[in-house]
Amino acid sequence: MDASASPSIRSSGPRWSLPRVLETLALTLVVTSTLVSIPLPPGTSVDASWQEMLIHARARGMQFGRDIVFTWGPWGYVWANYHLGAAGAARLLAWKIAASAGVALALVLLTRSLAPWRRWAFAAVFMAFNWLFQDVAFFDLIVLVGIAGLMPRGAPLWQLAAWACVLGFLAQIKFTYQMLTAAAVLAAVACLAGRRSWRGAATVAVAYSLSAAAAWVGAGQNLANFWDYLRGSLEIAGGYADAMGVDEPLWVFLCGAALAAACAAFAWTAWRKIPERGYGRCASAFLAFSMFLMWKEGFTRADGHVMGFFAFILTLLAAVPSLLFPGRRWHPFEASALLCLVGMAAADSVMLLRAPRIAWERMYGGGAMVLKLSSLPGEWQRSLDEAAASAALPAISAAVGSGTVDVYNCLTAAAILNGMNLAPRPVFQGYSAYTPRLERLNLRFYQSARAPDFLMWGAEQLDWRYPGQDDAMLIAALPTHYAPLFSEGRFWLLKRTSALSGAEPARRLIFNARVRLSDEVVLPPQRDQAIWLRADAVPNALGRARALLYKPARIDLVTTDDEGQRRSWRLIPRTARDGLVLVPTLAEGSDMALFLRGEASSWVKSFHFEAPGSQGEFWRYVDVGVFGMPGIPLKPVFRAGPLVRLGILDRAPISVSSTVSTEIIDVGKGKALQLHAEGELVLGVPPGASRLTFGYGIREGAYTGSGHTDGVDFEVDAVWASGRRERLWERYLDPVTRAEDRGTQQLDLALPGDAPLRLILHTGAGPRNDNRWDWSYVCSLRMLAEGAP
Amino acid sequence: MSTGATDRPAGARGALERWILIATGLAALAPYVAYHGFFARLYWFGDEFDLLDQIDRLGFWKWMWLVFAENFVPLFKLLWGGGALLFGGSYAVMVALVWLTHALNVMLLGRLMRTCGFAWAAVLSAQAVFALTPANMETLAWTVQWSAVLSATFMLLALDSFLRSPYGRAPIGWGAASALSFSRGVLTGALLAAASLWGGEGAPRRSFFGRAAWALAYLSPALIVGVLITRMATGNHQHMAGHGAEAAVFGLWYYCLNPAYLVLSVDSWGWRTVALLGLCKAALVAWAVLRSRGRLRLLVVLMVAFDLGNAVLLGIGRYHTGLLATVGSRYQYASLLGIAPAAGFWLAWHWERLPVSAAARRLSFAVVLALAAYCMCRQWSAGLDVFTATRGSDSRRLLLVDKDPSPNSVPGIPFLPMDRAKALIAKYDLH
Repeated sequence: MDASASPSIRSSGPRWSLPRVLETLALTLVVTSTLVSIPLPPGTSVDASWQEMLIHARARGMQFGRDIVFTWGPWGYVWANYHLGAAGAARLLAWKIAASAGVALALVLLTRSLAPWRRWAFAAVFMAFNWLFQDVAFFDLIVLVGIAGLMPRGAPLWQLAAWACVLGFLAQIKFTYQMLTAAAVLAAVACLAGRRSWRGAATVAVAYSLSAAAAWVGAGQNLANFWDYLRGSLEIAGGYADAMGVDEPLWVFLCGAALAAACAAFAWTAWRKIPERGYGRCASAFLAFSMFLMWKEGFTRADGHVMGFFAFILTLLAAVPSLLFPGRRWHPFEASALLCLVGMAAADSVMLLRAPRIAWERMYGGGAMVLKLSSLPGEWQRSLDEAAASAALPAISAAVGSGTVDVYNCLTAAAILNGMNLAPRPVFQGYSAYTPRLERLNLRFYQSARAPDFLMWGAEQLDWRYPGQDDAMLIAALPTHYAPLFSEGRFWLLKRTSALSGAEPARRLIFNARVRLSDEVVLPPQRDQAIWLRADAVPNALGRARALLYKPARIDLVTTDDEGQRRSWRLIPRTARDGLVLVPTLAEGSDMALFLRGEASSWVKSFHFEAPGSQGEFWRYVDVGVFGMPGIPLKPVFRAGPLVRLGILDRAPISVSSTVSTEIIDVGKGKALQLHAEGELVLGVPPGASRLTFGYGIREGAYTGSGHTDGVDFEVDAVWASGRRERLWERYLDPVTRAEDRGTQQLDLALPGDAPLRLILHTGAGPRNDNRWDWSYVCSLRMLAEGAP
Repeated sequence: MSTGATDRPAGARGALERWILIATGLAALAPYVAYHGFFARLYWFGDEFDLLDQIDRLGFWKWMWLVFAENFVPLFKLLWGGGALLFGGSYAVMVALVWLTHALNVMLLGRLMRTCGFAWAAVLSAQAVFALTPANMETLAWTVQWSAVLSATFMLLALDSFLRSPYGRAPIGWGAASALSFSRGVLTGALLAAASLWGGEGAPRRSFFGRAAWALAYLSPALIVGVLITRMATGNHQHMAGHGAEAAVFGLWYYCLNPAYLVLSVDSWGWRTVALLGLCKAALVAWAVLRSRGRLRLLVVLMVAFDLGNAVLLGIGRYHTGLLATVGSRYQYASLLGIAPAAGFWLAWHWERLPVSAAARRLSFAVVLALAAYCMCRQWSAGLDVFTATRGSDSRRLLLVDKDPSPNSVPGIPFLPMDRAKALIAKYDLH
């Protein structure tokens, strides 16, 4: 041991004595009580789904990297916040308690060289705030293992090996921890190599590798899948920021940015000022990396995640400056605690105020859980039964039977709770197929013999993404291979009818364009096939810098459909680069069912891109490719709802049909239904109706410019229950030759008093039977009772 | 040499320095020489027709003393109008005059920086960017902008003259010439006055009143021109009421964005870009002011003041043109001049601290400088292709070839009738 080394980098802490042992035990006990959390009853929310999936995967022996591609690793199930009943409960509880106690003991041991008040302060701050974000405890532990466990001068080999083994185990909980532990090991190896402690460096590297492999195998995983797990997780991590970014309020950002600057300054100070150069540089570089990682994690999806950054720095402040600069009583960096608290208050002041109480409740709850361990499995089973009852899908369960089933988009818990034979695609949460490679993994799964017999289709979309963008390649491949059966609850059940071929669906380029934000792109008027959109949104230099240091700017796709409805959707740039099904808009399960039947009720007419929150500053342009999908022919199906909502009709029609197209258009001050001749609108006649009023005409453009309609016959027939049919009114409009036939005409027609059953409004193609320019329309149709104005 | 600064050489080394500076001036002509084919396309455009029209209507001498907008620039008019008449309407010669003046400015900038003790690395890097960046395209390819270039020449001469022999009379003349060449040339007098009052290290020793008297003397031509402009000219400054905020915002955007926006080809636009570039610029300026000493600091401060003054005057004069105009190529010249010494000093200071031998440092610096110069020269090609098409080929076709052009389609000056433009072309043999 180097006697001249500063205290923080000596290998051994204070000598053990009875009071120190008792203090260590006491601290470990209280910290453990805050770490042991009581799992919640099962649910079917997004969070519950993936956490229950981890437990389910463990129980089913699913292989990470092959069967599951996710950022949580094979040991992640131990920290799931939900349980799945009595099955495996005893083992899960044992692991939860043992692992929490292990984490707590490690934290206490790693801080035992601090002054007494700092040890207690660290424990207090940790207990008060670590629960705000799950990763805080593990980040704290890994950072402390790196700095205080692996890098001290003169540490015995057994100690280095022990701490490296801890990191190896932590690495298999979550991919983020894998990266952080790898960074800790790299920094430690560099530090030890710099001291020419080759045996120490080798010990750390070997112990870490072996323990990581042992933890992997210990979780029932095959080592051959480890590389695939790393690649898949890296792919998800790489696409996360593009897809999951959520903006925070300005004050939170300002606090975070100021804190990040303080962190950078502290790391820079450590780099320059720590007397032992090698140790200083390795420790500060690793510390800076950990802070940057948490900054990115916290501020990319800046909802509750921002608390993670503030809580992580706050807990570190109690220990790390003192570990790195042991000769100093205070370090200016510690003043950043105020920034952390202000940032937390700006993000969620209620949560901050309740923090002590919640910390106490967690301690109390953790203790209570340990005390009633034996009764927990029974309680869990009862709550599982209740959750299963409330999530029951009897019809779907019966139809699926023992067949395999997958769930789109991400609510896999629905299948788990209904006891179905879940066979999920590898990226089992559709929204986290952030990149084309991940999408292809899922597509290949469906193209393989492992493809599920059934698919439960839910229309939930995270962050208001464009429907059908998640797993877009898979969606495009489903028509003709899966057929809709029926809907129950929030799901449509789709059944596999044939195996998917290995080829991707054919796409035929319609046009390419380079557009700027807000440039409207109009789609061709044909309504005969699905449309595939490729959109490569290219950021400028500022946008790239923002993505690297903070998070990518957002970009939205704004669609206008045939009904004139404008809707704004979030676009995921990485997957949009390869494409998505733009037409039809699969906003609901019924849209998907129609899509699989070769029909569509919603057609995008045009679209453009927008950047919310004045983030247009970060984008250069978007390269757009619009493709037809001849392999997915579609037939328009009219939806009556908008006709009433937009005031075109006063009631839902029995049917609307046209030999060419039906479309909602703008005429004058309102909307109209274009009923291109030959067209027919069938209406039921309500009791008491005595008059029919409506506007009708031929759309401008059919007789102006190059338009040359030969006129349209408008006719109204009444049909009685007996089958009798009688013409009530007819008129021929010829706007090309008669100026008075242009524009909207009005009709007020008295209805027969002997209660006709239906009225049929027919548009005919005119005297020469040429309907090429017969853009006839009707609007403001009302059936009125006697005396109505 | 570890501060980015060096002592002034003497004797044979002084002669060598002169030759190096002359060589840098000649090197500044590289884009003009390399792309002379593009420059030959250029033709009289916009305001130039207006000036020729005024000469023709008012007569040369009366026109010379005429005040228009915020400009009272008889010296520029004498040289520009004289050139147009003397060289028989040749636009190519006029452009060549602008480039020669620019080459002189590059040389003068180097001389001024060396006078103040900047290291060669600082001088050459500052000169290279100032000389070769295509950000100056409109300034160097539109002869109306000779006004700004000439004014810069006289300003550099005034400052160099003052710094070489403080409190001499020559700077008064150069300051007056600068003010009479360009409206924002009044800043030269203010800079000279500030230099006179400078009490910091490296400043000449005089009593405060003595310095104040000289400051007033240096300021007087600028004050006179300023009063003339204020009283007689009809620019924005006559109706600023209610537009102060717009002018301030325009000036702020101008100062923050330039010259980095065009020099670095920044492609984003908005307040974040302004804030980022502004913070970087402020950090660079603060660093350079704090790190420099003596006359080196004096020059840095003076040029920063020049840049800021330019931003203020430009805000007043151009706030109505919209914020996009703040990054117009025609406004880069002053901004480049303002930041070049600080940026050169920063680069040289850090280059000196590279952990390699002095020879390797010099060699690597030469290689990087040569590469940067080459890249900047190459960038002219794409920009000139478009610029000389709209300001040259299209104008020539419309004015000289088209048989029946639209009556109000004179490029850049729609209010001048086409017939009048054709008459001017014929009378002055514009080619």
